[in-house]
Amino acid sequence: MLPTSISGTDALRTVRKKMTLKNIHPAAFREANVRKPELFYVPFWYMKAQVNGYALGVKPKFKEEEISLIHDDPQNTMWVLAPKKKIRVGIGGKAVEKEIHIDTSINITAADLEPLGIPSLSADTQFSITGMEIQSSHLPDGVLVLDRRIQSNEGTFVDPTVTLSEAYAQLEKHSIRLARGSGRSLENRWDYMIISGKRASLVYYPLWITSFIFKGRTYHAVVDGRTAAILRGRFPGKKNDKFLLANLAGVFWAAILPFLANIGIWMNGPEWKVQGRTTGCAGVLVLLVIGAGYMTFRFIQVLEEMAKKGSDYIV
Amino acid sequence: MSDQVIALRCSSCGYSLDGLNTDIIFFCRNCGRAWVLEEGLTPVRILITSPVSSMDLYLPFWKIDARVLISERISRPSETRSIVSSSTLRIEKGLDITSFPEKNDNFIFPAFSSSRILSLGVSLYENPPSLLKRVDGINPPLYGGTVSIQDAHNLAEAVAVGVEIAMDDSLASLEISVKPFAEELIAIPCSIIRNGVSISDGKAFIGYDSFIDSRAIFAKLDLNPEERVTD
Repeated sequence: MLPTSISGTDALRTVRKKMTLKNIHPAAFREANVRKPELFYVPFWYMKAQVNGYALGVKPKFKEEEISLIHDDPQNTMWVLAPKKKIRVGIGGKAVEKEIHIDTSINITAADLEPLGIPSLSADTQFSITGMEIQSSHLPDGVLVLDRRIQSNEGTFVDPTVTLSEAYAQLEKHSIRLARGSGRSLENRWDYMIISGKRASLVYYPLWITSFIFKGRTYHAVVDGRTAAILRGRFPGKKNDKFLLANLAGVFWAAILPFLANIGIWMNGPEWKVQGRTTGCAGVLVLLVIGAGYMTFRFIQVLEEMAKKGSDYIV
Repeated sequence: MSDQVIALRCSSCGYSLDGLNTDIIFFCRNCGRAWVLEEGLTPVRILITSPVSSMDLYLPFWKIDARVLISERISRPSETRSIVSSSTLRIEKGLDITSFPEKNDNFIFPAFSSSRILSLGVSLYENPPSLLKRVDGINPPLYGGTVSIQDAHNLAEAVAVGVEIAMDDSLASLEISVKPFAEELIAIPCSIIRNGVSISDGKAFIGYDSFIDSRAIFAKLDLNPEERVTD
């Protein structure tokens, strides 16, 4: 395990400090009801292997030649001699035999961290994870053997969901991909590779999860237990959305009212004739107003939903 | 998640087994038996060879006996002008195709971590150690055994491929089947020389830079290579 290098108070302090940023709701720092941070140790497979083998092939040899070119003129009446051009011509090749030896290691996320908003490490990972000490091929210093005393005293240890055989499959994929890079320029290539010395260790990495309630909503932030960086978090943003909602609703009604008034005037003028009988139009007008009111209500509901998400500040 | 804890004790005499953190091969200093860590401790035959006067340490090697069948061996000339190219195809000419009947063979290669494990195996195939004489009553301290039996079987096939590659012609491709039928460990006397370790009286050499656990092994044996270097 990699022990946490920060305390719960440090994690809290990091989250608190984040709340003072200008993009965060100004009242969040004062009014948020912050819960005690919880420490979780999340599992990673640390996999090692060696790839041994050979890559055989032919390294092509070329010579450069200058050749003359001709092309037909635009009128298609005659051939024109063009300037000479240099080309490479294959003149055979040299047999090449390369020994391959690669020591490889990879860290693979052993539990699903996506719900926390943390991308997984796997054989396909191309990018580093910002803020974390553990990376695709780098295991930080300071790993301790996990003993029961540590396990019972501190934090919750998350069980791995990625099996060892799945992790080995990823290790093999990663190792073979690296080894295939040897002798890439060879033609008629034949290679032979074996993977040996496969070793697996389960490494637990510390993450602090801090929750706080602000204006009835619960927010979470994940703080790295090694670097004290906020890996992922949702914070209440500034509430500009209320103004946006009010303005949009106002514009909607401003646009629709003249139209409704027009209908009202028109309905009070010429009478509608239904099946040869004259009838009043007040009922239709009421229905239209109710419909527009309902649409406005739905519109505000939708905007509110969007505003809840859209106004949050996400790390 | 259940943990399986294996006591590092000789299953034969109960003596405590010692090794490096990365070791999976252990030697009993009391009764001389060797054990490989797999599901548990599996016994494996070990051959302790005669010590030589200039030796500094013993290193562990695998000796794998196997049935080797080369069903197709394609070689090419080292320099060729015969690659004919067209717009879509490159055809290689001058290839020589042969096959060989099945035969018994053996391969010796390090049981410790090395980046030159295959080339050392090929060297020891071409110049086999001449001191493969079992010596009883010697239980030398042996450390650094990291290659499992399964890996040793796979490496034996890789060494067999390396032997074909090391031949005078240039190998183009190989269809080979190596079926191990016996394995044993050999403790081979080695001496520390400049920049590395000489194996079996100069039959092979391994540089410090390709000797992955050398520092740990030397520290465990209380050896200081800088003090023992001879030209």
